[in-house]
Amino acid sequence: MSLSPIFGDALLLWMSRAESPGAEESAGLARRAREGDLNAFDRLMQLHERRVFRTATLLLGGAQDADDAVQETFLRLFRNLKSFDAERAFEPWLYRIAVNVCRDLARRRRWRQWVSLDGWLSGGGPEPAAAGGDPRTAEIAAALARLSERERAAVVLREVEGLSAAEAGRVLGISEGTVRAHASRGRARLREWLGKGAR
Amino acid sequence: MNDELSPLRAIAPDPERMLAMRRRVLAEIAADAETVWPGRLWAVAALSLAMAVWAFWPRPRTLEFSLPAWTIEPPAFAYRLTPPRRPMPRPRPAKPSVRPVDEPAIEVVGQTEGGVQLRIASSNPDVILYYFLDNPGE
Repeated sequence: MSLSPIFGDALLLWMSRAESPGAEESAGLARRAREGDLNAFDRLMQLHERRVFRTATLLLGGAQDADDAVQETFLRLFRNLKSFDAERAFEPWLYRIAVNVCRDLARRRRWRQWVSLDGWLSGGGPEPAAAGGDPRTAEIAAALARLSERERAAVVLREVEGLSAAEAGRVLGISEGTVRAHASRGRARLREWLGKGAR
Repeated sequence: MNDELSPLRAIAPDPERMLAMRRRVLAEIAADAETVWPGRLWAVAALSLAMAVWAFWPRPRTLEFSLPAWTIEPPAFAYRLTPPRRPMPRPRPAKPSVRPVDEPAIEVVGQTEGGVQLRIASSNPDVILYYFLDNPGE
């Protein structure tokens, strides 16, 4: 049974908002952490670690690199707390840091693979995301990894994390229309690949 | 599509690994806070800047100061240890570079009530002297 697009969007939004921590709580914790309260920052990490980990796993195509990405994201977050504008939403700002960290790690990994020729010798793509050993999840993650970097980021932020096109555009540093275009193209390709795989 | 991607939302980190990650992050933050070098570096930079400003600030070129007498006049025992110096010879006066006038030709150029104007020519064509004599009778 497939859901209608409108109902699907509403369900997605509800799911993402239901699991996302309160914006006011995050902003309050960020303010306290900025003043040096490490307990508040610990709580802030607990609130957001799952979403940051999921985003990093899907963008990098592996849980191993995602651990490093999460750690680096929270370190950068703390070091940049002084520039956090309490008037603006906390989550897009955190996502922006996470996406930048993932880009840096991916660039470094590509360089490492180029130097050691690991990627050529193993002949495999990125490691599929491990999610409790669910083969369907691994299949989707593998398909996601075949998308271009921009399309993958747009699909992950829009479809998995539930950000609006405007928020995703701010995170990725591109326009809202470009986000929609990348997400649409990515969705179409995923549908094609996953449809072929299901048959 | 949303439905097809929904399994991805089940991706969750290992709690133990996340706990270890949070501890590492907090330890690194604490280590950053203990590092006092940035503060010291700021102090060194400020001091260097102040010294540079002092050194290059425009000021009068002359510097007035006084030295103790012994830096100019050696103490008395120094004379006993070293033989007296011979006085430095005075430099001879330099010879005049102008050639003496050979057989100067004196010619009366003009005469007025007040005096006589003479023209003294030398062998050097560049040198022509004029003298004005007052009271030529005296």
